[in-house]
Amino acid sequence: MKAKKLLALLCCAAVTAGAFVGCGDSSANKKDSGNTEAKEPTDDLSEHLEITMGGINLSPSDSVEGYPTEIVKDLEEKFNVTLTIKNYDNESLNLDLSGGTTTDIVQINDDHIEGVLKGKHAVDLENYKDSLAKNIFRDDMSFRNNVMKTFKSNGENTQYFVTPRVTFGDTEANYGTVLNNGYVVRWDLYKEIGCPEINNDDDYIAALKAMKEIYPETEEGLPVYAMSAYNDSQLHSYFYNGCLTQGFINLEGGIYVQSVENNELYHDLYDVENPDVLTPFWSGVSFYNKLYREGLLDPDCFITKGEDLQEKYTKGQYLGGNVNWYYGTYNENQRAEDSETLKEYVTLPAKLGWANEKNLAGWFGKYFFVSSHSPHVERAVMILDYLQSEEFSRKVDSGVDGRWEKGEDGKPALTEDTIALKTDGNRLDEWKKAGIGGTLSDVCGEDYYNIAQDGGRICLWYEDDVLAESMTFAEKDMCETLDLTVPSDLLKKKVEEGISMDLGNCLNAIQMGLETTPKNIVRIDSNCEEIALNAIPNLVQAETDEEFAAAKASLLEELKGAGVEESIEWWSNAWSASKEEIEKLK
Amino acid sequence: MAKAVAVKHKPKKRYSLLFMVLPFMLIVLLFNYVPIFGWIYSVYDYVPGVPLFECDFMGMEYFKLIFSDANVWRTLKNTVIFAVISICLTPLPMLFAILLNEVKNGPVRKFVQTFTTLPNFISWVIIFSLAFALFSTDGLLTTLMVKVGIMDEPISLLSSKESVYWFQTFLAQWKVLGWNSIIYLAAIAGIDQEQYEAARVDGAGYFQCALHVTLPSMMETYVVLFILNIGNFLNTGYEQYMLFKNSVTAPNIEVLDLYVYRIGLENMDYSYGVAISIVKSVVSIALVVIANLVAKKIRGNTVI
Repeated sequence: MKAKKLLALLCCAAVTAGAFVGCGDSSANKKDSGNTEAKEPTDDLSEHLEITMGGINLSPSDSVEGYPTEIVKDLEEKFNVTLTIKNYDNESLNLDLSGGTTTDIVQINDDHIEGVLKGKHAVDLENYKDSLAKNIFRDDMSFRNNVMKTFKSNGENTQYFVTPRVTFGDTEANYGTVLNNGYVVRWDLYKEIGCPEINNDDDYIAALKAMKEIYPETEEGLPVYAMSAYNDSQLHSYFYNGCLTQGFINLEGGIYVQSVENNELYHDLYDVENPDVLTPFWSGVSFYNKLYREGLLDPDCFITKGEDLQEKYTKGQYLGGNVNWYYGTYNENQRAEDSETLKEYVTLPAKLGWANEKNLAGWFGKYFFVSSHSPHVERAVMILDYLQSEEFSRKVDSGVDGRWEKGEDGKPALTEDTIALKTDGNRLDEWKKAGIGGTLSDVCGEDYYNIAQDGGRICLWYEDDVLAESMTFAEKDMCETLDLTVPSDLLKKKVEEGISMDLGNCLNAIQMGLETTPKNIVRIDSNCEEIALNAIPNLVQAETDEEFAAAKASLLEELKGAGVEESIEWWSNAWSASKEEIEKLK
Repeated sequence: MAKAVAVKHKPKKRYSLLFMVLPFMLIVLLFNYVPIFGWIYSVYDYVPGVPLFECDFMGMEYFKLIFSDANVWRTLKNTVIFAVISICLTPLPMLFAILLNEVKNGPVRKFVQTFTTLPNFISWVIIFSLAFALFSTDGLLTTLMVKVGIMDEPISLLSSKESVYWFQTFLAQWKVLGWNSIIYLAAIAGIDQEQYEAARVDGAGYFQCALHVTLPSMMETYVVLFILNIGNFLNTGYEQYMLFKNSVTAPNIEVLDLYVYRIGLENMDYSYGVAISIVKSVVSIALVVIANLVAKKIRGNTVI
C-alpha cells in the first residue's frame, strides 16, 4: 500500500515538474537587442563557431542532398564555422522574432520589415562599413544600399538589410539555354502538328486543340487535357498566365501588377478605370474560359492542387502550361526510358519573356540581416559580407576553384569535367555534392550575368559557348527543326522583331520603395482576393460571352462593395511616391 | 478511541489528495487559463517582433470591426449550419453503439468496432487524398457511377457548392462515428444485466430491450455529451474545411475557425483574429450555460 502511495506521489511530482519545465526561461543566450554597436570590430577567426542562417523559402540543411556541399564546406573552412540553414515560415519566424531567438543571419520578406526594425532585431551594418563589411558597401552595390537606407531603415538612413542577386548597371544578359516561362507544349506532338506559329492565346489554344486530337489519351488510357489550374496558390494560375501574355509582373498576391513597358501600377482585378488595358487576371481568366468552352480544360481544374498537377504532368495528362515548375518528372522519366526521346515539354515564348531582369537593388522580397540577438555578431557580419561578394557568387553559380579555370587568355571557363558532370545522370550524387546552383543560390550577392573582374560572367553556364552544351535530345531536335542555336533564341528573335519583350526595362526596385501597407488596406486586398477566387468558377465556366460579361460585372460590383477603390487610392499614391524616389536614386 | 483516531488521520488524507490533484490543476492553469492573457492582443495593433506594449493601443476597434465585417457573418452562418447538422446527428454514435451491442458474434463485433474506430486516427490530409482519388471527375467512385448510369457525365463532389454541407458532414461522421460510440459501449457495459433478464421475463425481445432498457440507461451519458457538444458549437476546427476549400466550395465551406486562421496567420492580422476568437469564446460559454439551464429545467438536475 505504501509502495502504491509512493508511486502515486512520484508520478504527481513528475507531472508537476514536467509542467514547470515549459515555464523555463529560454532566453539564456539572448543579448540586449539594442546593443548592436560594434566597439572594435575584429576579424579573429581562431574560435570555431556554430552559425545559423534562417529564412523564408530557404532549404534547410538537413533536407538538402549532399549537404554540406563543396561550396558550403569552402565557406565553413574560410570562416572556421559550421553553417546550418533553417527554413522559416511566417509563423515560426514571427515566433522567433517575438522571443528574440532568431538564427544569426535571417532572411525575411516585406511583411516582417516593420517588426524587425521597430523591434530592433537587426544589426546596423554601417558600423562595419570599413572593417568587416567591405563587400556589402563596395561601389557596385551603392544603388542597392541607397534603396535599403532610404526605404528599409525606418527613417534612420542607415543600413540593416542586404538583398541577393544585385544586377550591375552595365550587365548584358542572354536568355539562357531554354525558357522557363511561356507557352508550354509537348515537343513530339507540337512537331507532329507542324510547329504552328504561336503569337497569342488563340494560336496557343488552336495548337493545344490540334495536339489533343492526335493524342486524346495517354498510352495508359488516361484522359489528356490541355492544362489545369493549381488551387493552392490563390490567384496565381490566372494572373501569372496573363502576366506572360500581356507583359506585366505581379506584386505579391497578384492583386496589383506592374507594367513592364511603362512601370505603371494597375489593379489587376478592378479594371474599371483602365478599360483599354487587359490586365493579367482578366487575360488569364478569359484564356481559361476559352479552354473550358473548347473542352480542353481539366474538369478537376478547381480542386487540383500543385502536387496533383505535378502527378498528372508526370503521367503525361497535360499538353501545355505556362511554367516549368510543375512538369513533375515527366521529362526525366522519358529520357530514362529512351535517351533519344522527343516526348518532352518545351517552352515557347509568350509576349513577356521572364529574362534579362535588371535587379538593380537585388531581388525584392528577400532581405538578409544579422540578428542583434546573435552571440556571434561579428562572425555573422563577416559571413553575410562574404555571401555578398563576387568570389562567393561565382562559387555558387560555377563551383569552387577547380570546377572552373582560367584559360590562356585569362578568361575563366567551366572545365570539361564540370560540364559533363551536370549532364551525366550516373554522376548525380557528385553533382549534388558540388552544390553548383544549389542551396545557397538565392543567397549570394551578385546576379548570374554580372561580369566579374576576371572578365567572365558570375555564372559561367551563361557564357555563349556553354549554352548549347546542356541541351537534351528533344531540345536539339527542336533547334534543328526550327533552325535555332538554342531554344531560347525563339524569344531573342521575337524581342528583336518587337513581338515579345523581356524584363530589361522593368524597374522592379519600385516595389522595394513602397511603404508598409496599412492593415485596413491589407484586409481590403485580402478580401478582394477571396472574392475574386470565389468568382472564378462562374467566369471560367461561362458558356457564352454574355454569361462571362455578367459574371465579370457581378465580381466588379462585389469588389467595389469590399472597398477596392480605397485600396486603389492608397496603392496609387504609394506607388507614385516610390517611383519618384527610386528614379531620383537611380 | 476509534473516533479520536479517525479525527487524527482525516486532515492528512485530505492534504495528500490535494497534492495529487495539484499537477492536473497546474496543467489546466498553464494550458487553459494562462493563454487567456493572449486576449490582450485584441486591444493592441500587434506587430510580430515588436514588444506588445510598444504597439499602438486600439481599444475596442477590432471588436467594432467584427460587426461590420460581412465575412464574419458569412462564416458564422456556415459554422452554425455545420454545427446544427452535427448536433442533430449526436444520437448517431449512441444508436451505433446499441446496434453494435446487439451483434452477438464476438469476432465480428470486434472487427466492426475496430474498423469503425480506425478512421478517427487518419489525418484529414489523408482523407482529402482518399476523397480526391474517389470523388474527382476521374476518381474511382465517380467513374463507377458514370459506368453504371447513376451519373450522365462525371461530376466531382469535391467541386460541388450545393453538396458542401452534407458531404463534409458525411466525411466528419465517417471519421468519428466509431470513436464516439466507445463511451456509449462503456455505458452499455455498465447496465445491470438483471434489468435485461427482467425485461426478457416480461416478454421483451431484442428491440424492446434496446428501447426500454439500453436507451434510457444511456440518456445520462448522452445529455452530458450533448451539453459538452453545445459548448463546442462554434468550435468546428479548420483542418477539414481548409483542405476541402476550393474556389467553388469556398463560400459555403469557410467556417469561423478557418476565417480566424486566414485572418490571423495568413494575413498576420493577429489582433483582429484574437478579437474574433474572444467573441467566439464568449458565445460558446453563453451557449453552455443556456444548455445547462435547459437541461435542469427538463431533467431536474444540472451537469455543470
